[in-house]
Amino acid sequence: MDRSVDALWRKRAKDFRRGSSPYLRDMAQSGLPGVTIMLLLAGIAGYGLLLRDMPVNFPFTLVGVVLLTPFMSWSPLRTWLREADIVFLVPREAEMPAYLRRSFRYNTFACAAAVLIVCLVYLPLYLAGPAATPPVLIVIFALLLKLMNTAGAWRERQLAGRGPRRLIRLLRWGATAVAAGALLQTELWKTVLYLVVIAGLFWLLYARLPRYPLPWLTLIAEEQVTRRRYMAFFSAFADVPTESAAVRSRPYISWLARFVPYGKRNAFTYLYAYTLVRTELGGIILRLAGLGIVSGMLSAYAGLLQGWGSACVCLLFVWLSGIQLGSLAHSHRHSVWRLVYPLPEQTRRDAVLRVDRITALLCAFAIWLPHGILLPGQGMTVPALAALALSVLYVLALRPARMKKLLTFDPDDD
Amino acid sequence: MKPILEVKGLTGGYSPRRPVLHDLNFEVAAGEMVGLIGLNGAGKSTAIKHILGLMQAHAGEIRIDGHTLAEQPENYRQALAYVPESPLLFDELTVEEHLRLTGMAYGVEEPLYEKRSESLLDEFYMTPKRGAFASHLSKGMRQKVMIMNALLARPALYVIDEPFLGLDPLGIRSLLDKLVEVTKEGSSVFMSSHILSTVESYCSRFIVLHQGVIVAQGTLADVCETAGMTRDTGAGSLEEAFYRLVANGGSHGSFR
Repeated sequence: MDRSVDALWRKRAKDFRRGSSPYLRDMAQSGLPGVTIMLLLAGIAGYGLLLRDMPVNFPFTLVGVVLLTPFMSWSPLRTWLREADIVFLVPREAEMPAYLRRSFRYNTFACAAAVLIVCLVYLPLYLAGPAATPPVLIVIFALLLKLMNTAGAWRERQLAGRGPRRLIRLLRWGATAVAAGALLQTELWKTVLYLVVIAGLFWLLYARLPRYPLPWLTLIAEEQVTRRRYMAFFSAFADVPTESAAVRSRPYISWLARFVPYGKRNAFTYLYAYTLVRTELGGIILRLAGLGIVSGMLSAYAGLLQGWGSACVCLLFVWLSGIQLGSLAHSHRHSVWRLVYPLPEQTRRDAVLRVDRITALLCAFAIWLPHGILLPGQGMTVPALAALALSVLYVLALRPARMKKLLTFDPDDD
Repeated sequence: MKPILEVKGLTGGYSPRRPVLHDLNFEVAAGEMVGLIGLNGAGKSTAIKHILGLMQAHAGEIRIDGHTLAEQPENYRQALAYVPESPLLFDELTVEEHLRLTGMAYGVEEPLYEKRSESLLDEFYMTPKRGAFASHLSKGMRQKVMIMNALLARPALYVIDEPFLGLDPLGIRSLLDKLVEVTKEGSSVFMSSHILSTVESYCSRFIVLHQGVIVAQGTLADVCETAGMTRDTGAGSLEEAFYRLVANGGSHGSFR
């Protein structure tokens, strides 16, 4: 039997793929692929129309920076490491470079492919605008920036302090955004000069801060977060094993949960409000709502398909956030306190429905807002109102039924 | 004295074909602290799970404050608070928010909740950690949070499984002081522990569980007598009695 770390990596990757495949099947049966294809077709049609009737003051560089920066900067690393590896793999630390090489290869190829796709999506827009830099060079430099970011992200993982790690990551994202802007708007020699200077500065910064040769705890924590994200995503479509919740304090939004009045009938509402706000589910909802707002701004600004395309974008994100919110029904169903607290099971179900309804309404309103502001200004009031009415209908009439179904089919219910 | 916990003819376990507990009969009276002792695998945690209603008995009846779980689930649960062996906290709540949730779940009046939570945070030296999440607490601190939650509810019965695991000496002292205080106020404590010297000092009665059977119960003198220790020998420590009762099946051989 091959006991090398290389074989271990391959086995773990295979186990993950095998473990995920049933959930992917459930996801495929949920109707999401159909909607995604519809969205893709609508997006391509809308994009074609936008290219044909390009607004005079379209912010080409800004859109390029917003699109490219996250893909170039975000450099995840799947290592499949777990807590138990502190006992079993740490003694084999000398062999770990071979293990990590596999992880780097796996992630770098996937991330480079994503950068390539985003470049291909953005370049037609860029060519319709200023086109200051040749497209081939944009692709080459985007990939180069991706590689630099991957190296930088690894150095950040090695840093001993959490504070410096976060600060430098923020700086790296900022520097990448400036590099993307320079690449799209200025002469190439200036971009090259900027990259050389910034790479040197970051190298100095990374070299001067204390770091671990192999940041075991950081890698294990990162892997755990990634696993939880997958599970939180899959839980919207299938019954997945419960991973303990990844928690973020999120003070900028958790203050909302403090408004739950003190009282016996609100105990579960209090718990579920914090669960939603502070776990990975809350993060996914926030990101989806954010993406929905940005997409809404772009589609409403362009008046996609006389406003109706824009309304569809709004409904799609309201629906997606609703689908994801469904995971809330699975939270705490294995908790012993559900059976120990002197509260009827119905109060838990009511709490889930209440938190779900309020959140879905807030999300729907936030996602609709750009459409509500930008569409009437272009004389497209009807699609804006239709998007609002259908969003509210979905949240108040369709979602409660789906949530009740999710709660009723809870296999743990007595 | 009126029993708060009544267990009659309890037979139970994970599988009806292989019961872990065999015909358990015991009571815990109001204001009493009773220690449940036994070796690993004796059935202590299983017995506790049956009392909590997390497992269904194959036979027998459990009443808390006169209520059964099947007939009056809310009254049954309202009358008990549980401290598990391993802290079971919500990762997304801070220490203070756990206390608030417990106050809400047990219907503690808000001003009373404010007063009790402040006092518990202070007594368990947890005031500086009131805003900390469960994942940022040491195991001992997590256990303290569990204990504080149980004490905040002030129920008729405290079911405590291995309360001293991971607690520092100050935490153990605070817990024992509070348990004495609540028993003086009329609440009952049903506590499982391996720290026999502490159990002996604080509990008024003991239940010795071995291989799912109660092999002795009563006061220290009763347990010693069952273990075959005569009162006049003067060797009446719970540890010695326990050893005689359970080591290698004791002089009694196998109990089933």
